[in-house]
This record gives sequence, structure tokens and C-alpha cells, in this order.
Amino acid sequence: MKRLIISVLTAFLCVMLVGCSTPVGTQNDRRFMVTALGFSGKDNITLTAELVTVNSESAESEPRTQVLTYTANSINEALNGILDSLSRPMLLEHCGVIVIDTALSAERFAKICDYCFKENRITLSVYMIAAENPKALLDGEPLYSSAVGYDIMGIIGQKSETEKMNFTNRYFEIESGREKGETAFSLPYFRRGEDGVRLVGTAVFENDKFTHMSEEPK
Amino acid sequence: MTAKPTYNKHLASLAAIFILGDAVIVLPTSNSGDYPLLGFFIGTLAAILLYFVSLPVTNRFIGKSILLILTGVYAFYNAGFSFIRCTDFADKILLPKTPGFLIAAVFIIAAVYLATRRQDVILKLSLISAVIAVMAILLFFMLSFKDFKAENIAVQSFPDFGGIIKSTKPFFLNISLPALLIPVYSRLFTEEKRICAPFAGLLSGLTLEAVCLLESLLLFGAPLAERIEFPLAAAVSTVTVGQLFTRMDGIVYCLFFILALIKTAVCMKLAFASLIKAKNC
Repeated sequence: MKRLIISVLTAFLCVMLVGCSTPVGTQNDRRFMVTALGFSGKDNITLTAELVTVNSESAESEPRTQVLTYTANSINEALNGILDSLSRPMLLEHCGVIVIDTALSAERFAKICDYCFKENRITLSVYMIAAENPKALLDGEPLYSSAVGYDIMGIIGQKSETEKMNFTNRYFEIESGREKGETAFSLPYFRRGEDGVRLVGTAVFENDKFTHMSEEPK
Repeated sequence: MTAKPTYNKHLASLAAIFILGDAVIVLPTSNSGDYPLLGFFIGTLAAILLYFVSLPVTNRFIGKSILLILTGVYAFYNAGFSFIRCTDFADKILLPKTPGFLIAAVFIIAAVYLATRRQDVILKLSLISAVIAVMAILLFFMLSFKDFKAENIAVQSFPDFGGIIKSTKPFFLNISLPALLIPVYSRLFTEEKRICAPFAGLLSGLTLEAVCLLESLLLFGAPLAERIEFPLAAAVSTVTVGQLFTRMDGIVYCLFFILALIKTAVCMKLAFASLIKAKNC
């Protein structure tokens, strides 16, 4: 009897915890995976999110990519603004790239770093890159994968492997340096051309502010 | 005739898990100061020292009610602390939208169930869990190796006395003091004066804790590792194998749960047993 009670209780809790209580078929199974986030703006923050819509109900349907932008006073407000236009929550867990506008102020950059630190859904190993216009960079057709964010990740991985370029642009690497009091860091600089996104140089930041471009990779 | 099992390996595994327990979830804590590695080293020496001090004390005073009451109270405190840390982790990282009472209920039911089982059930579970813990900790350490930066653990200045005390305190409270309970547990439940197996477990636990601590510090550096609430989980979340295997922190979530669960159950069992024995003294 005791075993039976424990088994029933365990089964009940398992069902509750995995969220199986949602009736099957009453909602579509679309999921909005964020692949890249872009930050820009001077007075207000403009958040650009690249989303891949995956429908696990129909295996034949291709993942659909869309780019949404919202301007607000804070990052959370901007994120909520984007969320309001979607039918289901966004999944930030698979965000691979954070695009920093080179025109951002040092205070704004520090706030973005704080946000990434506090938001547990964003992995600490997310790549940080710089661009002149995050929206223009992300808003285009992906060439090599299902999303521009993943294209960028692929390019960084490829350059590290084939050309032995030593990027230290993951969020935890940047934040670790900032915590230790290092004042300068560099981010790969991307631009959108006719043939998709490409790495065009290295953006050097001092005291959280973009200062100049460094070497031009071939 | 079958020989009576000695359970030496099991007891060593239990001691190792007892040291890892909830400490592996939170160390280095936010108050670990500027020299967490030095603090850990001193904490390790203190743990070994306390173990050898408590051995003769336990063997001599195991029948005295004062030792049993102190053991019971401290074991209860440890059980509560382990429970709070694991549920706090689950509430913040694993299941942020699930009501807290539900998370607590799952953990308490599982811990009470385990604590009420026979002694060999806990010992066997400990052995299995210890093997998994060793494999997972070493695997993630090796996978993170490429991102380690030696300068993250370089000592820039010689620490003053206050700095050493500050850095040692969290390790002393979370690793050294719990080592006091190992000889009592071994004596109460195996009813033999064992020295080697629990000591081997203690050393293994300390070594595994050192690997976890090194992983966090080599990846993030002390200042950032201290800011992160759950450093090992964060360190493992940075591990990617190709583009396919990302966010593998889920594996350590399971590890955290089982380690904290075993520690809580063992502490509960020890607390009840010592308080009951104290009552009968």
C-alpha cells in the first residue's frame, strides 16, 4: 500500500512538472527560438530579435525566420514589446549572438552586460559581435543555416578553425575581463553585403565604448 | 557460505558525496574574497585535521548524550541547508515558473523516502552516484579545458590575514565542518571503527570539489565566479561540442539534485539516529 501511494504520488508530480497538463491539439506547437539579439539606440534602447519559428507538429514545414524590432526605455520593456506581437513566449536559451551597435554609449553597453548576466535563459557563452546597424545586419536571408545568427556563429567558428583567429568575444570572456578591471576588449565586426553577412574587421572598445577599428581580416 | 559485504567502497563514495553535497552547487560563494583557491586549500587541510580529531572523540564518546545531541543538531542543520540550496537552485534555474512548494515537496518526499530506507540502499545509491559524479565532473573539466585561462588564477598580490580569513570562511563552513559528521556516521551505522574507507572518500570528495572550483575559476576568474550564483552550472553551460551539443548544463542539474538529495537524506538519518540514541542514553 505504501509503495502504491508513493508510486501514484511520484507519477502525479512527474506529470505536473513536465507540463503534460496542456490538452493535446488545443494549441499549435509553434516555438519562437531567438537566435540573435541586437542592441542599438542612443536615448532609448532598440532591441532587434531574430526569431526562428519551428513547428514541431508538422515535420515537413521549414523553419521560418523573422526579425522583430521594438524601441523602449529599458531592455525588459523592449523585450516585452516584441513578446506582445507573438502568440507564444520566446525561447532565449538558444540565442547564439548578441549584436552591439558601435554607436552605443558606455552606460548602455554596461546595462546590456548586466542584463545578459541576470537573464539566466541567455547562455554565458553567447557570442558578442559589433555592427554599425544590428537591424540591417540581422534583417536578411540566411545563407548557410536557418538563421543569420547561426550564420555568424558558423563564420566565427570557421575563422577560428581555419585561420587560427583567436576570438575572445564570448560574453563570459568579455565580462571576466571587465570584472578584473581590464579597460579594453575587441569584438568581431560584421557587415551585411550582397553575399550575406561577413566579417570585415575588429571593433576595439575602451571603457565599454567603441573607439576604433583594428585590422581588416581578408 | 557467503561473506558479509564490507561496503568499504560504498562508504568511501558516501563520504565523497557528503563533501560534494550542496557545496558543489554554490562554491565559490559571493563572499569568497580575492583568494578562493588559497581559501579552499586551507579549508581542505582543516577538513582532514577535523576528520582525524573527530575520529578518537567519536570512538570514545559515541555513547555520551552530549556528542549525540550535538551531532543530531548539526546534522539537522546540514540537512536543512542542503535542502534550501538545492530547492533554491531548482526554483531559480531549473523550474522558475513552478510553484516553490511543489519543488520543495518533491525534494522532501524523495529525501524522507531515501532516509527511511535500509542503510545499504543509501550506500548502493551513493556508489552509483559517485561514479556518475566523477565521470561528469571530469568530462566537463576536459571539455572546458580549451577555454581555460591560467591568468585567471594568478595571484597578483600577497594576501593579508583578513583576506585569508575571508577567503577561507565559506570553504571552512561548507567543506571542513561537515567532515566532522563522517566518522560519527560511519561509527553509528556500520558499528565498526573504520578509518581508511571514509578517509579515502573524504579525499576523493575534496579532490572533486577542487576540480569543480578550478573549472569555475579558470573559466571566469575569481571576481566573475563570485558574482555568479551557481558557478559550476554556469561553467558547464559554456561547454559546446560542435554546433549540435550546446547547453549541456542539464546534466549537472541532475547531478546537483542527486548529490544534495543523498546529503540531505544521510543528514536526516544521522540526526534521527543520534537523537534517538541520545534519548536512550
